[in-house]
Amino acid sequence: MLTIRNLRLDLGGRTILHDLSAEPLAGGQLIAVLGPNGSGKTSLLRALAGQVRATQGAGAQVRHEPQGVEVERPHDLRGVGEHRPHELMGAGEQQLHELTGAKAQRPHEPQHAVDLLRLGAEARARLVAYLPQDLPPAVSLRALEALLVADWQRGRLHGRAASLRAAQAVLARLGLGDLALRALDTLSGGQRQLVGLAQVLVREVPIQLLDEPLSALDLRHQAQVMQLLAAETRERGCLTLIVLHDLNVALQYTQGCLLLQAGRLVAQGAPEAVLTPDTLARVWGVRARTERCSRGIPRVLVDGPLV
Amino acid sequence: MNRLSYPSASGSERDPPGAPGAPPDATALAQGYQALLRRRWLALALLALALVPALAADVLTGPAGLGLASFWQALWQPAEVPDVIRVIVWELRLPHALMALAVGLSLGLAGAEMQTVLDNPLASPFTLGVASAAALGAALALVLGWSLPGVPEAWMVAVNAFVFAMLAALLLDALARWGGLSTSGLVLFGIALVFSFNAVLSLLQFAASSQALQALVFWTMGSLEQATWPVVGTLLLAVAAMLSWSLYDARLLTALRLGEARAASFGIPVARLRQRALLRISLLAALAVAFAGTIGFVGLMAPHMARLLLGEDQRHYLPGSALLGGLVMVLAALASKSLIPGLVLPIGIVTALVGVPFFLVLLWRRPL
Repeated sequence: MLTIRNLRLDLGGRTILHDLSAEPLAGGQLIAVLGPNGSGKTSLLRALAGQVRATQGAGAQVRHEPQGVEVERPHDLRGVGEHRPHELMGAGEQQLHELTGAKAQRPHEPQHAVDLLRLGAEARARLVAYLPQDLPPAVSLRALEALLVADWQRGRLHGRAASLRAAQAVLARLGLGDLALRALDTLSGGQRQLVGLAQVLVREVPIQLLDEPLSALDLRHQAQVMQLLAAETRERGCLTLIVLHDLNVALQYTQGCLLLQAGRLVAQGAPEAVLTPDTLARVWGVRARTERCSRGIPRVLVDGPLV
Repeated sequence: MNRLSYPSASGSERDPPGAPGAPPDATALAQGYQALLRRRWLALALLALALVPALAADVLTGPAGLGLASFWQALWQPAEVPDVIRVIVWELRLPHALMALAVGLSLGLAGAEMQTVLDNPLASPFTLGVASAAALGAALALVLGWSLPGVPEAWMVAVNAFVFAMLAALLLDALARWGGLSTSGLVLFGIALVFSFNAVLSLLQFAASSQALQALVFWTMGSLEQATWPVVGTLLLAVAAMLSWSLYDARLLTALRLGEARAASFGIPVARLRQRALLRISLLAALAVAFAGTIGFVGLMAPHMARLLLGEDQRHYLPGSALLGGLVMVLAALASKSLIPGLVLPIGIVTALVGVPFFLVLLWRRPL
């Protein structure tokens, strides 16, 4: 559960975020961050990720509360079927791991509510993963190495074998298994963007902040990444905030959205409820309508700019 | 579960032989990665091994002829060889060769770490004004006789160069720490420093006597003439200490290669990491420049060679750049004595000539 209260950000004498507050965001949800260019989407993510200091508002707080024992990922529980159900019933997480032979791999998270704005870099990184808008640079590092450094806290706690297993699982999920030992400077832009996404997913943290993770991907990969993010978020019970420009992607895959305009939160709720013709005209300056397609999924149709 | 796929991307012919193109599972991937690491450690070991014949050739070459047998005897039984041979081996050849090695190791390591923390392929101790500051300090001693009080005359040039280099480095560090400068801002400021120091240096050259000018020109070309055992020991000790320290930070430095925003998001204290690296760089660069003058090529090119050979995992890249720097310097020292018989050229002139062929060879192959 993430609660944002009075988040303010001033940069170079300009106020980028105006005491932004949002209704609590529960785990297990994929939330779109929407808004026109310059509305503060990236700044909001950067502030939540601690990339910029944003604590000027009186009583500014970004409160994270863990939601009990989270759902384990299926690959951590391989072998569950080999046990009789009564052996597993009522077993705690640790016993479950011992019974199934699966190892607890996730870096330790605090079990109490914390204010993200007041955490040190290392402690925050155990809770929050941030994917910057730009692609990972084309350096002479293997995709696998890029994942191992992203997940260095796991490496320190559980050793290299655990890191390698986690990295391999994520690379395979993203279809990058073949590219694991390829250097980033030999990959295409889209492939590097997927490696960047893998760097976030491999850390298995409760809050994922993704700034336009689809920008370099073709249609098929956009659809696959969104499906994967939706499944990942649901299964792991994490909260994923994703900056999107394509409103139809938001309508199809996300459970909620934060709509920003000029550094202010102007609407929050289900995308279908928020993206009305009136809002589209007011925030984006377009003549548009939402209609359900033949399969019942709402779509935004843009008729043209407002004159 | 969804699986994304890139059918066109597998099995690249650019992969080095032996690297599996498509690891099917975690074990295969772990094995492929282990093989990659083994190849890199092997390359590092070979580089270190290549230093031995290079050093031997360097020691055996010089204006006075020295056979392998008499060198060997002077090395192990110094009391039983003529005084001339002993002096040549122990007072001249060995310190010179090891000095070349130590300076090369220092500049290679300093340059590599600088290119990493400043994320700039043109960064080196010479592009950030550290070496220009040292040259200015040396010029003050050579031309005006200025130095810190109490410094013996023989050490004035080295001490001045060191103090000025450290001051320049501390200034850069202070700006990075308190000025909130970005890396590109830091690089720009370093370039501004180079021009400022060079302007003052030109002013001094303009006013200098012809004798002082000659000494200054010789110093700025770089030389190993100041090689003594205490100097060599100091340099090697500094390299060993700074290399260990930077290897301790290696994993964090590797993350920095993916950009500052990403590294910070992994929970890495980027600002503190950069400050530690700048401190190591300035110490190494200041020492090397103070004792050997300005030798520009190694600090800039050794990192690129290491990157081409070993990739950018800093655990291999940093020692690789140091070793390549050492190798290029030792070979340059050898070339400086053998290019024109009977004449020892300033080593700073020769390093580029020796280093470029290395670089060209590496340009045509993929990293390990």
